[in-house]
Amino acid sequence: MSDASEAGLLPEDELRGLFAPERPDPRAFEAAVRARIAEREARGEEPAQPPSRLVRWAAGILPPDVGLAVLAKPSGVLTTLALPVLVLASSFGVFFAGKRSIERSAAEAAPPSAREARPRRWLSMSTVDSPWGPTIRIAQQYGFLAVLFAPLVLGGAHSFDIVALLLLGAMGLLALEVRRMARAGWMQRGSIAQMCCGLLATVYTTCFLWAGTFSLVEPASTLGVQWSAGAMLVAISACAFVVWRERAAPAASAILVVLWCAFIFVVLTPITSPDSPRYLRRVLTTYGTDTNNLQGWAELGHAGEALLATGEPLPDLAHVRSAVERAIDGGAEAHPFVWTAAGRLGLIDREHWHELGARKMERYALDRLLQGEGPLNMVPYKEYSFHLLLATRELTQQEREHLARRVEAEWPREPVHGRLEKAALCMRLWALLGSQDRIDAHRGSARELLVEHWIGGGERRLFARIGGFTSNPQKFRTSFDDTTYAAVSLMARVGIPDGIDPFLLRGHVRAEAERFSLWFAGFSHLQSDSHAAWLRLEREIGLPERSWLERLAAERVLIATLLTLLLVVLALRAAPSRAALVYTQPSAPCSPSSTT
Amino acid sequence: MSGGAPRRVDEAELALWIERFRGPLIGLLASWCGNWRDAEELAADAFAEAWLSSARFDGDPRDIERSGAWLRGIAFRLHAVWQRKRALRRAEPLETARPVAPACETDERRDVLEAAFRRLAAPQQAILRMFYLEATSAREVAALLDITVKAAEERVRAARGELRGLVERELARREHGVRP
Repeated sequence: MSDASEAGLLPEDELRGLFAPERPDPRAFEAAVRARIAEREARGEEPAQPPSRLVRWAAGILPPDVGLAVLAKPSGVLTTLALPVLVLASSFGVFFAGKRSIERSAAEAAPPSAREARPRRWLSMSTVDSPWGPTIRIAQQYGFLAVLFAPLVLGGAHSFDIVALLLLGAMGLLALEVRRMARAGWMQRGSIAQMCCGLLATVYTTCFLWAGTFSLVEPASTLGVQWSAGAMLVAISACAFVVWRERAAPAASAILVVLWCAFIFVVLTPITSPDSPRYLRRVLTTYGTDTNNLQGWAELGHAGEALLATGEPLPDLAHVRSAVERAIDGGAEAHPFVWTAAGRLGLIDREHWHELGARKMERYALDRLLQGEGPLNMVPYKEYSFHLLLATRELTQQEREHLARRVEAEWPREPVHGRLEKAALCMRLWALLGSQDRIDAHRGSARELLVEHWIGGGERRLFARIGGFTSNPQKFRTSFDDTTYAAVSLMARVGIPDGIDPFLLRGHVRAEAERFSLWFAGFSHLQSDSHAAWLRLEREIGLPERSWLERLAAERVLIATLLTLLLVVLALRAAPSRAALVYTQPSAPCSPSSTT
Repeated sequence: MSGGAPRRVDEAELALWIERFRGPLIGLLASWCGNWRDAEELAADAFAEAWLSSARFDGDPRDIERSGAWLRGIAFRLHAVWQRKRALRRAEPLETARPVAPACETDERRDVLEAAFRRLAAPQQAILRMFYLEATSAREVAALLDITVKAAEERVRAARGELRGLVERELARREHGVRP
């Protein structure tokens, strides 16, 4: 730059001086580059697939967050943030196009027809008079198949983008239908509300009603799908209310629709599900009263463990304590699940441990633990033996070391069923024995196991539950709740390995935890492991931070839903109400002949 | 459009890329990463990746605009991978934070300059880093940012003007006894 133009600027020398300490040594830098090349060539490593020209161009013009996401993965645009951002941008595009179309339809609407709006079937959108009617009817009847087969085509992680695309289609259909009705002279609020009611009901049944059954997982959303489903039901009820108010249909029909929505909302919409601590506390207070009945004991142990791990208060467990003590005092042969759950929650005092340990079989089992060699051949529910041993015997350092070695021999090296559960057990036993060095030594191996058992978002199978962990990756390519809980408890010790998407995992455990509403949740413990995993993942392990764009794109289904509903509101507002039409209708002119 | 069929970039052209883009690329990556050390590592990775995948480079390696866009794309991707790994590492509960090294003493003017620089907007910080880490011409910076040379010059000029104003205000504040 010329000297004249330097006036008012900071001298360049000062700026060079400012960055001087960070300036790289050119030779060392070039040597580092060549060393990397040589190293990768020696390994025979293939270069990463470079992004396409289109993607490079997109990265150049998009904001850094989007550009980074577009180029983040070598497997193409569809598996990155590009598709979510595209869906999000399309939602706004379709919304504004629909808004303009509705405004134009309202402005150019034919005069209201003298006859009442044609009767329509409730809960499905009649398109009898429409030229594209047959196509739309097929879409209504079989649209859910698109949701069903989405995992097979796109991979599980992108299934919800099909839902977002269906919502875009609904917005477009709404605008087209409003235009057609306006031309036919049916631009009346009651008729429009009736049409919207049917359209939204169709969208709800297609997109949301069976989402849980089809095991769709919204991979990155913070709020989850329940808010979209809930908003849709509220909107259907609101449309029914408008229909009733405009007298476009009998009151009984409107009431029927509202009751249908209320029923679905209470029974199926997981918006009414309790939060995890509340659910887990309910499990703890409901179960654990009968030591002869196995139901709920394993879940009870996990629930209490999750609450303790996240610093949540435990409810009063006096009923569990007294049930367990009664069983020990009475010499009952309860299942090891019972002792293990009670041991984990610290519900057996030293006196009762001694009483239990005095039983012949238990004494023999403890002696075998201390005197045996090699693997323990232990199943996870036998964990209580270690609680019992530590409570009833003073172990020397050598005995502890001997037991830690036996646990090490138990570490799942062979590809057998339940390796993750076994690894979680080993970690737990080492923690009980105070063998932190062994936990550290097996950190890498545990992480490899986790990745091996992960059911990722690329899984293309019908009804495969993605985002969790399988008990046997060779046999079952779907997630299991108890294995997923074991994996989360393992990750609480070893961290989340590369290759596991914590947001997809969160989406999975949340979907499983919210599979049923409060109505069902009140009678079961079936979601306990998922709630426990969800709570520990969010509060004990923690999720990585995300940029604002990633967070926004993650909520694209909710945003598309809200835009659809906003378009419905605009359509209703654009149509004159019955009262307005009565007020503005010109009175019929009196002809001279009419007096005769 | 294209400079002919893709061919492997030769050693001399790799050296030319490094010579031209080392400073601005490290400066750009430092702005994305927030630290110089990782930026230098990533820049070296980017050059290595560019060389290894150069068979797919469909232009003249001596063309600054094309090679700048190529490098920027690779750097983007590598940085995204680095960012995701860092985010996942952050989630690990057992990871302990490294102790922060004590800040070294600096002279008054430099101290003021650093304080003022930190108050600059992020894009202005980025362009100054790209220009002044090494002696770099506007053409390389423009190629990496995918903007015109004129736009690059205007941006650096605006950033320097803004920085000078901030330095003067910082000096005035200190004269009145207000320390950061």
